[in-house]
Amino acid sequence: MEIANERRYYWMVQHTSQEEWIKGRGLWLWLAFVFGGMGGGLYLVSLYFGNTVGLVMGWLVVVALKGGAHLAYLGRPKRFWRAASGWRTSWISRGILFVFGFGLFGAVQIAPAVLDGLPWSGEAPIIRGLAALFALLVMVYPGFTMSYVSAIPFWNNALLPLLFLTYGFLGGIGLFLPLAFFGGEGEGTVAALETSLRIALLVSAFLLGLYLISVSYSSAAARESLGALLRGSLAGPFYLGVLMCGIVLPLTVSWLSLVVGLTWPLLFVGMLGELIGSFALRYCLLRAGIYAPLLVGSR
Amino acid sequence: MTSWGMVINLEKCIGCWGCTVACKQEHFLPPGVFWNRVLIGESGEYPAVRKEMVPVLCNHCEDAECVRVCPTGATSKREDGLVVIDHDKCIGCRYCVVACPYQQRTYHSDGSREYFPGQGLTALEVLGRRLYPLQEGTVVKCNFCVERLESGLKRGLKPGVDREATPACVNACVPKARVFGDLDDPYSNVSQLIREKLGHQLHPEFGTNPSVYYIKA
Repeated sequence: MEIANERRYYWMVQHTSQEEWIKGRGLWLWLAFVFGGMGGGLYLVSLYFGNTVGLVMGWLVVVALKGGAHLAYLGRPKRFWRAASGWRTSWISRGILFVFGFGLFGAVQIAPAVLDGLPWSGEAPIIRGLAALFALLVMVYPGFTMSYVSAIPFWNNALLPLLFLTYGFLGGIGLFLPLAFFGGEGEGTVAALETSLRIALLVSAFLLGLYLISVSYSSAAARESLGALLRGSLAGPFYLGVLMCGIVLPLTVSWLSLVVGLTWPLLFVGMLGELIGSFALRYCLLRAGIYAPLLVGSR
Repeated sequence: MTSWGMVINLEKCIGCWGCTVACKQEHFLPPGVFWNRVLIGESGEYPAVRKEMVPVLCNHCEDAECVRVCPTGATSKREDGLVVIDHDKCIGCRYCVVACPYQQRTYHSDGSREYFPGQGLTALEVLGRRLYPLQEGTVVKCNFCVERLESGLKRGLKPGVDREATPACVNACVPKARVFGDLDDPYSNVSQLIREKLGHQLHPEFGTNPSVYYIKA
């Protein structure tokens, strides 16, 4: 069944895809979701391995890139501070608080490594814990924001936040690998990262498969979304971007590196594939959001 | 307690789009912004094909999704049942637009769009921007002509009965398919129609408990 958006006469008479969060200025929201996942993931991985450059990069990706993308998307960006007031019910409100929290505690955690003479240590467990917690929340809240929307059955799925979390870690590991490789981290660290990457890729692929299978048992509108992904207008970005570049290519590189050792061309190809996959996944999820028709039984 | 609602008779609706035009005129809505629409669908197989005309507008739901997802509290449910937007608080995140299962909210992005591109604004458009300015970068939607309601109530008029206190779409409906009134009053026109003609909500499975009912009588 064709989607109604291209033929306005059938708007909400046939299945109609959402446009606000992916078309026109909606692309900024797509970017914000990607940067949040990647930045949070990079911060967490860097925190684990104690890499200051990674910590700073992760923090900047979230605060500057994600924050900037959100502001670019808003219709009234100067009022952004108002978004903090609806935290009781609104996931966007909770999200802005998570980003603020990450910005604050992340800065507090990083600052002693960058500035001398500060009266606290960035290694203090409470500071590390809070920074890590808010990084995790920044990675996962877009999944909750989307899954809360019962009007779009494709999104209204408990696996979506988990998918965002795993892809966030995937992006973080992918971005950290070059830092480790070129930044003089030991072979042990690089090997550990490679192993983590393989596991993250397999887990992400498994979760994605589970998600798509669960959607196939959902409503007609959800199955329309699945059809758009697998056979329709989004098949290209999905198969090429999400599957080939995002999973198959990095997995191939990762297993190849076991045989020939990790070289910078392999690293670059794997990282590029992962980045493309990260962008492509959020793009496909947002684009595939479809509403059920308002007229039942009509065509 | 008053709870304003509407009943729309689908057997009477002739698909003239008078409600849509009246609403546009009442609120000086710019191109691309619709607070009232008539959805037209077909059902059945030849030769028993049936055309369906279903006017849709904001349902002013009892348990509105838009109210819950709004991060700033710009969208709220009044005590009289109206779901309204405080445009001074709206940041234009469009979460409400995405979350509304009835898709009856519009993001107003460009206040400079003209009905006749390249020919400047008409006198009516200029007047509209002065009398009923919409804030760019915010979300807009049907408000059951809240200005008419409040002004009429202050003058002791009865919404749904007195035209000056009744939403424009109800007044404009040629076959009188629309009825407006107090859902909490069991003897009101809307309550009686819902009871006697088995009024139903559009997609009750969405769980939002709309204040707009449909009958076929």
